[in-house]
Amino acid sequence: MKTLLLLLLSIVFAMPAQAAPTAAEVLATVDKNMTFESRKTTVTMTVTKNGRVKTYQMESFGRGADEGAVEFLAPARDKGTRMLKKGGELWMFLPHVEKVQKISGHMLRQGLMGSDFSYEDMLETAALSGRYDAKVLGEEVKDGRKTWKLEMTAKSADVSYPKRVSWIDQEYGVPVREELYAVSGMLLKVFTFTEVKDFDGRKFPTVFKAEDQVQQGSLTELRFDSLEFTVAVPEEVFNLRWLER
Amino acid sequence: MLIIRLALRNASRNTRRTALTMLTVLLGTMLLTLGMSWVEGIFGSFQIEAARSTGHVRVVTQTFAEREMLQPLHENLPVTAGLEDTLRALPGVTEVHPRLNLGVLAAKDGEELGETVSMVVAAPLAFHRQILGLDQRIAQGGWFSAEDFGKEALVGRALASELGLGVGDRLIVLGRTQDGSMSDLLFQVVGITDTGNTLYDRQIFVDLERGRWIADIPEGALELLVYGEDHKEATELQAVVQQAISGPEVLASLSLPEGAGLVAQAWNQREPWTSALVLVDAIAAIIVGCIVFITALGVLNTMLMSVLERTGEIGVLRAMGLSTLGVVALFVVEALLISIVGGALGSGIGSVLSIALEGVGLDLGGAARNLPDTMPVNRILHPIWAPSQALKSFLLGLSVALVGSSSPALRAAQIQPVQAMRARR
Repeated sequence: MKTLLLLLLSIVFAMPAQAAPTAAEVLATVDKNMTFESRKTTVTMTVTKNGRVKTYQMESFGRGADEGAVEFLAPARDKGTRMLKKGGELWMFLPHVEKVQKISGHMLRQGLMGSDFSYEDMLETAALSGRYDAKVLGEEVKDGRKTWKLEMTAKSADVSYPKRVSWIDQEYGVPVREELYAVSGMLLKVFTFTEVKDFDGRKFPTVFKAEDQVQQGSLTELRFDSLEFTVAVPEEVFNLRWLER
Repeated sequence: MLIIRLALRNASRNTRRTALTMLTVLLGTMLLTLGMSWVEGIFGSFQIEAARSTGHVRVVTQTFAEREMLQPLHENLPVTAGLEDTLRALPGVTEVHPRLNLGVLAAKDGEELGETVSMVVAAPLAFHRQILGLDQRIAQGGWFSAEDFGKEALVGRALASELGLGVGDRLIVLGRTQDGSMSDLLFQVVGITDTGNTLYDRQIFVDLERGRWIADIPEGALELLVYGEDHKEATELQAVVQQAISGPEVLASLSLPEGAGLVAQAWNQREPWTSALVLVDAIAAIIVGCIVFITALGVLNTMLMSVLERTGEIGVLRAMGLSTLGVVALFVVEALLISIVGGALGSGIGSVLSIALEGVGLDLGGAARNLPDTMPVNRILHPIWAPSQALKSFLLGLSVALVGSSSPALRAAQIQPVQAMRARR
């Protein structure tokens, strides 16, 4: 009996305690899961605002952090609206006037189709580790998941949110919740990420929710109906001519 | 009768002084007539345009009224047809029009959107024609066609000039729906309007249904504009409309969200008009006050001279039995007789000048661009003459003479006969 007890104790003490990873390590895991070489998705976006609910369906393509394309499939009045991201610029094809419009200036801060995701949010898909300095604030259980709490501070002034606080799922290495702050320290938006699925070893949340904290009562849900990584995306998709096709 | 005869004799004795008094009253009443016609022309037309563009009374949701500056398109009247019928049946209501004023980015087809912000005014074509009178104010092109009016737009002169738009050009507008998503639409420019009004000249006028499409409010509007016979009776009309829209059945017919309410607002009870009207009244009072003060000072001065010159004579009249009241009456009647002639001439000349200037006007030119876009102020200002202004000026001239002569008359009445005659020697 004594021998067995000693054996158990020695096993317990011989196991190394789980050391807190560095912020860089956490961010590297997040970036590995959330960034991609190429991606093809179909998405349902549901915007709840002012007591009204509006649902959009869209197909999107992505290639690296710099190129992305979205086409709206529904509702009927928005069908044919297309968006193209090239580097730090965003263009939109307006189907009723058959015109390509560059989205710039104050328009970038407006909600994509009235949603809580801004056009700027669409532009910022590059790896977090390249844009933010981070530090681990500790461990927390968030939405039933064990997470690392990270505080990120922008490396340069050209990012939309100078500060973000993220809760990173310890098991999956993806964000569970993010709080986005203005320079003044005011909380602007809260993103939540759920329904994490496995895509050939990559963990990816398939439901994103955004709540605008300035405009109360506003909620947007992005649900990925289909999601494929490392797929061949036709070259012409990332061309301005694709918008007007 | 004796007093009038004496007053007439006194007035004719020193013709230079009498002429000076008369000239003072003449100039005063002439300036008053001119001033009143300009005040009426500038501020009266401002009120008419304000009431015309905003409705004598308008019906909106309570929350829209509170947050209008933010353009809350979702705070709309979702279904207006039933309420329109209810309002048209009210006593004193002559017209009811649904309207959507929508902030948009505008550009000529082929040009970049993003620089020019404008306002799409979407309403039934009857509103554009009967209320705004746009069919009479088309500088180039023509009115909406019977077939394609939904795809057509009238564009204000200043906006057309800024965008380089001409008749037949295609106009792109980028607005937003009540849910906040982008809403793009193409219009054919059928006419360029030149209203001489800083607000209208920067707007785009389209049919109601196009505005409903842009805002994605298929059967509704942001405002219901209610018109009566006279914009000056808007407050009374507002009370009638407010009572009519307060019933639960009206709210039910509109498909409004639970807890939402309606409010009727008279044009003069809304900002910026409320503040502007106070300012207008203050400016008018200052103009009239200055003219009256200067005129009264002139009359006082000449009448005082008259009293000093005739001290001895007043003493003789007092010694012969003329009462204190008689002396006061003598000077007041003299001033009134002079003022009747001066006032009549002044009002007449002022009226002739006002009528002549009605056709000329004062062009604000480039200065009009500095006026706020929310104010429907005409670029060319005209005086508006009315017989009542001439009558008011004339009566005001007499009042001024009465006030101006009362002090010298009282002074004359206090003269003691013995002292006066001694002084004469």
